[in-house]
Amino acid sequence: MGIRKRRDTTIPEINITALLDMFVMLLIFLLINFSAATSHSIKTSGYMDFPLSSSNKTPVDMLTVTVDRYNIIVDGRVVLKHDKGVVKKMDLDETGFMIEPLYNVLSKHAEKTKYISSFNKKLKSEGIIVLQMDKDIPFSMLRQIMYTAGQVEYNDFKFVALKK
Amino acid sequence: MASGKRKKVAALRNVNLVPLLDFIVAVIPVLLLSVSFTEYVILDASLPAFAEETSVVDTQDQEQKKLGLTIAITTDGFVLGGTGGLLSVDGAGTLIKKKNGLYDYELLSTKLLEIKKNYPNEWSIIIVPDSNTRFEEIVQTMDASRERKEIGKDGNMKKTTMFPNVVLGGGVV
Repeated sequence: MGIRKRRDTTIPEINITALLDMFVMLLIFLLINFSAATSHSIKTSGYMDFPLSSSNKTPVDMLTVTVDRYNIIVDGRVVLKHDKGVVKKMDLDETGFMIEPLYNVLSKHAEKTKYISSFNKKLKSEGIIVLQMDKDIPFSMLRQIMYTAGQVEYNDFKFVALKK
Repeated sequence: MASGKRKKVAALRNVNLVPLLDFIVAVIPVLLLSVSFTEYVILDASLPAFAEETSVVDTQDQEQKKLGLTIAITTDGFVLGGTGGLLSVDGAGTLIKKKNGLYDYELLSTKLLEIKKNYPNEWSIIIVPDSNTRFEEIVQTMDASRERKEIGKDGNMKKTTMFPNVVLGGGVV
């Protein structure tokens, strides 16, 4: 009756070693994935779905043209808007194949690259465009983009897709 | 002497791991936000006038006819053709009809493999899509013509490179 239990004032120690082990493993896994993911930069638009492909080639850092559901974007800047893969007539030349605002932007890029390569011989324009396109864009628009790029000596294209 | 050793062991046992844990807990969300789990790939295509006929090692026999393999993507399906009426059936290209309203990529790949066996030194293909062909369909056609993966008799996956040099033609207007 008169005996009182003494309260145990010691704080039990939690063994965090196992938790730490798990975190370290997670950290290593994330770091490996991080380095693999940042080896090439793919900046995507929020308004697009990539097609799927079984290709194994990894993306390269080149001049990027993005065609989402509403815009044509060159290196992150909106060049013109389109309506579900149809370019407005006022943006086309008389043949109906060349997209004039796109031609102007690509010409500037080509000139800039030529100017820089006149000082830096290592930087050569290879005439390659990385093309990111929404999977539902019709070929008629792809043809116009390829034709326009071809006029500025961008003759090779690298289509970006999601790996299957 | 002995008590000094005991102190060392006790110190090692009581390493404070909490700051390290704090650091890791802070770093993990940053990495999780920046890591991309989607893998992107690229496919090569060229404009007709600039496409190299033989950018992959080509030791073409001069006597062998140039195939000039062409796939037209039409609303009915794929039409395969070659220069000078090669691959033609009754004067027209080989038609691979759509299956349940969808393009039959499997059959296309099988036909192309047969062609590849007859023309082992051909590496180029011209894809001529219809104006309304969707980009996804073009990419899948390129996939079907680039390589064929089959499980061999030994159970291993066998890859056959068919026509990796793709030229996108002007289109069926």
